[in-house]
Amino acid sequence: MVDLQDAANLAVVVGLVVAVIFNFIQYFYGPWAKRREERRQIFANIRTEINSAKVSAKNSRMSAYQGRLETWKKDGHRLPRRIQRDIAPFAELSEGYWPAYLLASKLVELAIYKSVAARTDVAPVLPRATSGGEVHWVVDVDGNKHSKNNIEDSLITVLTEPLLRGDHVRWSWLKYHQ
Amino acid sequence: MLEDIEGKLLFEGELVERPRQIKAAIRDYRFPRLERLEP
Repeated sequence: MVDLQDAANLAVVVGLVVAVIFNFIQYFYGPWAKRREERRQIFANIRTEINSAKVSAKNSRMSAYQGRLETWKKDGHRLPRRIQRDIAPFAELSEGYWPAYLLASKLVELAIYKSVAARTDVAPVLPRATSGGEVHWVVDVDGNKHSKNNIEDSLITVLTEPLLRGDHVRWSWLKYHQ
Repeated sequence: MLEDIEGKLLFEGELVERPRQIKAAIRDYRFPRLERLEP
C-alpha cells in the first residue's frame, strides 16, 4: 500500500518535472519563442510606422503624405489584445486622413468655383475650355484680362492649403503669391 | 471674394476642418499601454 502511494507520489513529481522542462523548452526554444520573436518584430515595425505617422502629422502642409500603419493592417491581429486596443484608434485616424483631406479639398475647390462664379456673369461650374473651345474672360482690378478657368485654377492653387490649414487668407497675401 | 469663399467654407465647417483635426489628433495621441512597455 505504501509502495503504491510512493509510486503515485513519484509519478506526480516526475510529471511535474517533465511539465516544467517541457514548458521551459517551449518558452525559450519552441513555437512560443518563435511567436514571441515574430510579435517583437511586428511590434518594432509598428512602432516605426507610428513614429513616422506622428512626424507626418507635424508637417503643416495639408497635402503632405500622411504615414499609415501598413504592418498593423497586415499583422496587427497577431499582437496581444491589450496592445491592439491601444493602437487601433490611432490606425483608424491615420487611415482616415486621406479621405478627409480629399473631401475637404474638393469642398474648397467648389467654394472657389462658386465664389468666382458669383463675381462674374457666367455659369457656376464650367467645363474646362479645350483647344478651340469657348473661353470666358474676366478682368481683374488692374484691368488685366484672364481666362476664367485660369483664375479658378490659380485661386485653387493658392488658396487650398491655407484654407485647409485654417489660416485667414488676405488679399495682400494672395497678391504676393500671384 | 475671399470673404465669399471663407463664408462658404464656414458653412461646410466640420468637413473642411476634419483633416486638420485628424492631424492634431495623430500628433497628440498617447499610447498608455505601449508607453508602459518602453524601456
